[in-house]
Amino acid sequence: MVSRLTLLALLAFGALPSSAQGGIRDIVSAVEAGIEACRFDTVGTPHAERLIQEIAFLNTRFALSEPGPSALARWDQQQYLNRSLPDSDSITSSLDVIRQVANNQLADSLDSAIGKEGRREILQPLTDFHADLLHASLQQSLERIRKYEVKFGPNSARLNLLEVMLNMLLQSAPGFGPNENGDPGSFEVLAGYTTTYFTLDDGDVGLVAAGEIGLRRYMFGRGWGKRGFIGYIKPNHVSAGLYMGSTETGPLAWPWRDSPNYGAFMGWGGLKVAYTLEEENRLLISREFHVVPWLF
Amino acid sequence: MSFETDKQDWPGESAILLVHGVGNAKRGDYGQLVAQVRAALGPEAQSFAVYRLMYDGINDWFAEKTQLATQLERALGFFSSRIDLPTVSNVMAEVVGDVLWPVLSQSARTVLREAYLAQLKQMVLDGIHAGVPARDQNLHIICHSLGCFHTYEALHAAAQFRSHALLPSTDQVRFRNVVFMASPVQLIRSVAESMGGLISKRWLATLDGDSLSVPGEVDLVTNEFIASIDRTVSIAGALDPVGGHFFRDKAAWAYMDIPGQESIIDSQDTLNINSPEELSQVLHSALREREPPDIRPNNPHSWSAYVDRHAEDIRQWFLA
Repeated sequence: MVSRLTLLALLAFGALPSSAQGGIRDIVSAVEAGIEACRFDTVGTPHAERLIQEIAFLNTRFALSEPGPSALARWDQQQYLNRSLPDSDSITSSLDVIRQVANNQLADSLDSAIGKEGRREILQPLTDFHADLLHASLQQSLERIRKYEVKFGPNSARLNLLEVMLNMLLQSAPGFGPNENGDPGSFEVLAGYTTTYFTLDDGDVGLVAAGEIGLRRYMFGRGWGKRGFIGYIKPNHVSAGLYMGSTETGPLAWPWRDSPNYGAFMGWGGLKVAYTLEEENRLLISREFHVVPWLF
Repeated sequence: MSFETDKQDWPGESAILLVHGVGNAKRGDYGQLVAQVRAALGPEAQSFAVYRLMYDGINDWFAEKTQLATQLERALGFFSSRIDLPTVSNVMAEVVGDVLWPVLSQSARTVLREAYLAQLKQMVLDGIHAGVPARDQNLHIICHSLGCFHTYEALHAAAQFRSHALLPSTDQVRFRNVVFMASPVQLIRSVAESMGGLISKRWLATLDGDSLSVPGEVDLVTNEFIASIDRTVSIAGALDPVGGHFFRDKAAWAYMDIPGQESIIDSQDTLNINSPEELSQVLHSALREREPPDIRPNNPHSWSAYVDRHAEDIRQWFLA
């Protein structure tokens, strides 16, 4: 589903922390030891023959390009792999076959030949590798869930009925619903009627009602969207769109009774600023919240 | 509330994951169920790690973001001013939201599935850290109501996407028993199909294929299909509509029928009195105590009652 090639490659060459060295070389060595321990190379089954083929293939690849410490220290392991191991897709496919056969048919033979404890000991590198894969995958899952919490959790913007419907309609569009990795889209439609814009009207502060339509973009980076003062500096979302304001001040005015003041709004977290094309009520400020939940 | 996986120390080589249904998938809600399952297993329960999937907080995100409770409170207020509006509307929002969002919203079902997969990964990792490789782990799942839907979705995703490292053959992550109690999976499939384009089929295993199916992986050498589950059990009550029965009639469009499953239909009674002798006892007791007789309707959907009725089955299945 997601960067499996990168994940496997990083683990294979020891570029991620692991409690034991669960890299491909250790797996190959363990499987070779297992084959010898139960004479698996003599059983003549399709699984045994295929396992031996794949082991031979990986040994050939290792002989051609052994990664040195400086290569392992590269930031972009994937670029390194693509350059030095152009058939890295084949390597991961080979590893899948080896793991599948080793964990099933070879393990069955080892259980018969040397018992469960002996099999566990010989195939420990495969278990370690699996643990590292699970750990890395679990971290990915938790990070993914954290992003969903940013967009949908208690600190995210509340939606009115119109926004619920529009976002439901757009959930298959790129950037709105989950992407191919299952990560949340960062965009959300913002649409509705608000009565909480403030402006200066003949020296007095006045409330202005307005319609808005635009986009909200959520910031998934860590450190954004925290509670408290830092949340104002680094909010979890920003927004922008079309502003359609009433020409009159006062709450609950209907902007479309006459021709509304058109302009644009920008939001930094819950704080919004609008600027209109008309001289009247040119600059407005608002705080994002629902006076009547689900409506406006 | 942020999601956290349930972590457990493994006393043996076995683990059970409990997955609640609507509205009560928080830590404290599982207390009685854990006790019942342990009682069913008897002394051998000590060798089991028991996990709980706590995903209620995630459901709450969607309910609160869409302000469903507030809207229901407003709607209910039109009907009566005498009911405790905040409490009732919150409960209704929880129930409605727990069912609605996973079906209607791609984001909701994706994140709920991800939480379930995270819990499975944690479970297998805990076993490995206890010295039990995945091949030797005895994993079991008991799910109820909407928890069955989340289980179906998660197990299919685990078998489909290699990056989760939960494949039945390559990763040796297999479930000895998955017990579905009052499963609405077929009901959801039928309703979603009838709603056509309103339900996005993306990331929804329940709608894949011509019918419901067993999750699994293909052998890379022989192309043989290897299932993720050794024993699939479906238990539904004859009076439980969520499990596909309407007044003791099984509705094919609502009853989950996965190929190879063991199907059990519980005979249920509407009242807690099951015989003339019991009725006589209850009435005598009421006269003696000078209190109203204890005659109440049974809840056909009660998870606790399902587990209670099948305690011996659970013991036999999980200790086999």
